[in-house]
Amino acid sequence: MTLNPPTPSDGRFNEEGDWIAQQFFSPDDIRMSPEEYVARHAHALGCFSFHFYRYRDPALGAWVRRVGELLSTEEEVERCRQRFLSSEELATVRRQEVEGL
Amino acid sequence: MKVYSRQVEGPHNYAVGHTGILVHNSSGNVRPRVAVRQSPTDANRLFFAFDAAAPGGRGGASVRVDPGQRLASIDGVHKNVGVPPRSTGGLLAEGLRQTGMPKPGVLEGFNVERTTASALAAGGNGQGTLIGNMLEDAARALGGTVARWEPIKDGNIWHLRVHISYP
Repeated sequence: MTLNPPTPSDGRFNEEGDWIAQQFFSPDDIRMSPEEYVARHAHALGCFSFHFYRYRDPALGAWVRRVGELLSTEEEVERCRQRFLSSEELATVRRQEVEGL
Repeated sequence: MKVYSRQVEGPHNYAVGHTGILVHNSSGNVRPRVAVRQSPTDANRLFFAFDAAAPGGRGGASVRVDPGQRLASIDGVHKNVGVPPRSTGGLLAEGLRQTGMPKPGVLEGFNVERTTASALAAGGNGQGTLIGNMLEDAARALGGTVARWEPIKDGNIWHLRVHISYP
């Protein structure tokens, strides 16, 4: 998953992302920093495109865009994990990561 | 784009077991594992909530359907961490059945995760990748088979489509 948006010809993201983001993320998720969310959830995400949408709520939009930015590189994901996860949590994430969706 | 008219197939009467087989809840004991929510502003924008599959495990999928192309595009998916591995495809299939699209012709993973994207960038067709497995599991749970794998490069991101045939 990368940060760069799709080709301009794709009008898919010409809509507000607020509703779908509010379905996908819980209030507890959004209370975390984007870095902690990525640390705890990156291994469970298969596709992630919410950062391409427009947001009416600027705080939600900034949070989602930062999550998308962090997910775009393996190095950032790993940095977040090292910062927020205990060794036990990290082991669980590594195991679940290879199990598949 | 044609506006999709939901044909709810008695969603409270169906469930997909871990084998991916749709079962009818005629005995009244089986509850749906997926709750489908529709955007208030776009009939083709759906969210499939997976929490009922293993309460507390959360998870869900953001899905855009295009009935004209018989396409269901998944542009966000988080697995329910309480269900066995390789369950997400079956949950997607259950959601699609509830929306009245029980036999999509094409399933798409939009902006796939890093390992799948790397495999596609290396020339793979997507089969055996994380997203490839999920889409293939969904196709199987819908009663179909993957007839064609179609990786799509879109700028710096990758999508993966599977074209499904049904008996």
